[in-house]
Amino acid sequence: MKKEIIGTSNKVLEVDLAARRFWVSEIPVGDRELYLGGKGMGLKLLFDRLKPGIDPLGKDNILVLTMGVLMGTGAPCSGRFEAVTKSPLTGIMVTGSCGGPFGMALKTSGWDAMVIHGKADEPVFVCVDSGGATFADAAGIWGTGTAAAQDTLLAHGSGAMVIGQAGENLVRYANIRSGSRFLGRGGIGTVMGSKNLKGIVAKGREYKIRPADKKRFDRANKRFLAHINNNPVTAGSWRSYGTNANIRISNAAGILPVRNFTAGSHGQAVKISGETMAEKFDTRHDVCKPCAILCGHRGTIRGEKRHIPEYETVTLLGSNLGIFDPEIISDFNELCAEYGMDTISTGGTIAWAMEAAEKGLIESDLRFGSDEGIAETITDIAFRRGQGAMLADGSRMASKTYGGEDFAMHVKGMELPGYDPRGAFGQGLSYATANRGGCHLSAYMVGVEAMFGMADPHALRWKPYMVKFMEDIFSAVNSLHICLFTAFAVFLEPPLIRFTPTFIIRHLNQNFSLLALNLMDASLWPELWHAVVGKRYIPYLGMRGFYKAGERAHVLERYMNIREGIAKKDDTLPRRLLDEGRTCDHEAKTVPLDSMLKTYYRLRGYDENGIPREKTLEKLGIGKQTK
Amino acid sequence: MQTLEYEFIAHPRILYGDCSLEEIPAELAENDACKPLVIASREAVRRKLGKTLIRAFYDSGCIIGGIYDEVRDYAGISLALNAAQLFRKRGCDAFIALGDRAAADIARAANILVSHKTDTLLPFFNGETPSRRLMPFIFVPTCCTGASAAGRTLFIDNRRLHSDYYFPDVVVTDRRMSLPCSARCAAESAILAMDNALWSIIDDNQSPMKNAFAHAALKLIGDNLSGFLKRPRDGKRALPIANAGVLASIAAANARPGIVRVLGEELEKETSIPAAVFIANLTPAALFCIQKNESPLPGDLLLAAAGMDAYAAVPTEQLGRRGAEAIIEMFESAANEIPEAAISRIPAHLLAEACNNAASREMVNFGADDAMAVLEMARQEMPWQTHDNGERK
Repeated sequence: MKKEIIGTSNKVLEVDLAARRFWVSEIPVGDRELYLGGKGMGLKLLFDRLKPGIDPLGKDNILVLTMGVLMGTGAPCSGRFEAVTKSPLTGIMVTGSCGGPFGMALKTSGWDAMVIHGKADEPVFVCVDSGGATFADAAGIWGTGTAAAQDTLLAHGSGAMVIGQAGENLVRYANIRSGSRFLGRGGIGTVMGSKNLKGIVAKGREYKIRPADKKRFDRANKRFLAHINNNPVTAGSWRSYGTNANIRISNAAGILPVRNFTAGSHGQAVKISGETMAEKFDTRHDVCKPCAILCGHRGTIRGEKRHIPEYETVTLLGSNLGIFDPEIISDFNELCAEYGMDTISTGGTIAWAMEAAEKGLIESDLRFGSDEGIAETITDIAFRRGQGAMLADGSRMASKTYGGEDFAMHVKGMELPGYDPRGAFGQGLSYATANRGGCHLSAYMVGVEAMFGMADPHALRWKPYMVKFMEDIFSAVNSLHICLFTAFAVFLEPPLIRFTPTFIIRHLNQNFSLLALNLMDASLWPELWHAVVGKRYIPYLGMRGFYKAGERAHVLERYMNIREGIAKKDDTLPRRLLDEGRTCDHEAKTVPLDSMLKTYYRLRGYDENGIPREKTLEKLGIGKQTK
Repeated sequence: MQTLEYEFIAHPRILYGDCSLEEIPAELAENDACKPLVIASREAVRRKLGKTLIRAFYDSGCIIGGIYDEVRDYAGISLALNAAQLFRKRGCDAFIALGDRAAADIARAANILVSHKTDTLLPFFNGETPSRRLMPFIFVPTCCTGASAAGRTLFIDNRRLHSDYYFPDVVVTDRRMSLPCSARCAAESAILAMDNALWSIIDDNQSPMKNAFAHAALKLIGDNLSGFLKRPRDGKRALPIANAGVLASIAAANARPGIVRVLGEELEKETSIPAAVFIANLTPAALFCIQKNESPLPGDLLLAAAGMDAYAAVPTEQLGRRGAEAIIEMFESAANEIPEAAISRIPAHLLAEACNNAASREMVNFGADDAMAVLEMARQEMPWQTHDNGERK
């Protein structure tokens, strides 16, 4: 019979690759209370261990893997784990979430977190079970793609995470594969490559995870599942068409990136929509486990069973390059998956190269609208060959060397995802303030502004309030660790919001935002959290505590970034978004960032230079040692 | 009799005065042009300086072919291509840059494109230099920081191209075109001008003409700096500083780039903090390093910075040191206007990268170790702090 873990084990497996040894530490109970798990806990573990100012590709960088509080309990969409490290792409903290099987395997091996120190002399992979870690020679799989490497590692356990050639060659936006999912952004795979770490495999299935209060957990979970299955996004469009269901919405709202963000919509966008792909490729579900939304799909493309590219891939390797053939986009996606490279940064960097070539800054045959040379460029990037070596450092570095900073579409060095903020100003603010750089998952404002029409996309009033609220919530969700897509069900299904006409919600959001945000019912998440750890849930207060945990994780990350030199000067957008209008707009619109940023800093408790005030840190208990 | 061999190029004609704008049509006519395209910065457009310029052309026989007003704070090839397209469409025959450094650089780049009848600067990025004289180019700085762009360098898309053909034909500093600026902006412009002048004097290649320009610049700054910093919105005081900026940039165009300027620019690239902030903080350290290496500082530095009386009162052997002190004092008074909060912590590996990049720049005569030594020297003085492990934040 399997051993049981009630809620969380609080055990951390710490590994030193240089000395090939491991030791075990404990997560203090106080930290668990303050930071939950996942992202918040990962940041806290890193904060306690990482020296500021180190080289992200040096031996002193640390990679932290943390599991969610809900993982293994059977809560839907909870099979996610988080990686936290200092990013080689941005030079600041990066957090990434993944729904692959490695997380579940590590947690059911009895570990709530894993911390990787040092650099191995030779390529290695690490095998983890409940007894600790062993180190194996990875020379045989060094140089292989992610699929082959993962197959090899899975002989040693039930869940693995691996890097491909891009990570080995220190492409600054290399990612990590687990199952068919990826820890995508900021070059977390590059950090593994810099440590000569090809992969980690966990035995798993050694422990059973049980919520502390099973009865209350089951009750909340039932309601949670009902919400997911009733919501038209989670049970409708995304379940049927995946995240690509957003393509036509984005196109109509003018937020689809086209030709390196020079336009916000395109007449051929329908060709890459989820609806078209579902029909063309006969798609079936291919999802994280356990999942109730079922947004991932696979289908038959060019006679092969392939994962259908997600929205961000389709936009950044498709419309943003002027390519509207889903089969070609799938080819690029497969290449990136094999080499282990972030499709958003790859697409964003290639789009920069295309525009730079058109304008005579670099010599290249890459051109918008033509797929010629793109596959070769992706391969060159992965192996750092020829011009690929320059593009492997990302669009910020390339533009610093070759020019074209005005059209290098990144924030803090991280390439922008597939939403043009000139069609949704709140999204612009959230890009600028996102801790890890150009990130849509810090606060998914396009959902509120462009998809559900709950706020005027071009209004400025109250946007800083909404962005802060969403950032805190999303940070808390990533700390609880459950899929962010459940937000649609949790926010939109409670009766108050479900039966209130949208125009009233919009009016409230735009004119009485504080009231509207306070009326948002996100109680399901904290109810599940409390049931798992066996704490009594007090309505409203429990929810406020949950928000606070999210705020704490967000501000801690900001504070860690401040130590790396981040300030107001970095909370900005690419010049194109601030200065250039688009032809698809009735009248030229650019993101009026400055006016929103000032209010945002005040709400966050930052000074005018974007640095958290002492009082703010004190209020959130950041920097204090907990027991 | 001793003969002194030197080269000095001061191509731009400097027009300085309350009504100097009205001289532009005559200057254009002298260069066989009569229909200029105006490249205006956003601030110049916002303040309607274009209208003042148009008024200056009244009844002159010249007409303004168009005003290109999309220039922002970054000089990129995209804007240069658009400006060149407008130039051709309107049948213009000269450029007037109205604004700051970015406006001047866009005008230079567009000038290359139209003069060489091309749509790409790639050959120039790859080392080619203009083969013939460009279209007439008049530069009207509207803020004192722009004045330092009067040299022979085209800075576009983070690349520096050097050629004597990039000098403006005429630089016009007119009080009506002087935009009110903040104390910080005033300090930054003074720092850039002082740096240009200082390193022109320190440069190995001694030329009396270059020194004369640098001395005049330092003298103008010395006489006007404190009043200008107190009342930066006063156009009357901004004008001499702008003029000093022009003189200093011409002097600097005839000298090697100084270590502090190059390092400041590379650090700006790494951190997005303005180069002037680093220059202000690194100059004392760099001067100290020079003295420590027992390389004598030129004695006439004091003459330029503190005037004849102070110069005459100091013994010869102390001239260098006292000159450095006077210069440092000037830098410090300007640096006081730049809030320290703007300086954030900089990871050590970025500092090393900046030093390497600085040492690999064209025409420099120092190594990465020298640059690092300046940073080390500045460690105690600079407002950034030090980590426990000794690494600079």
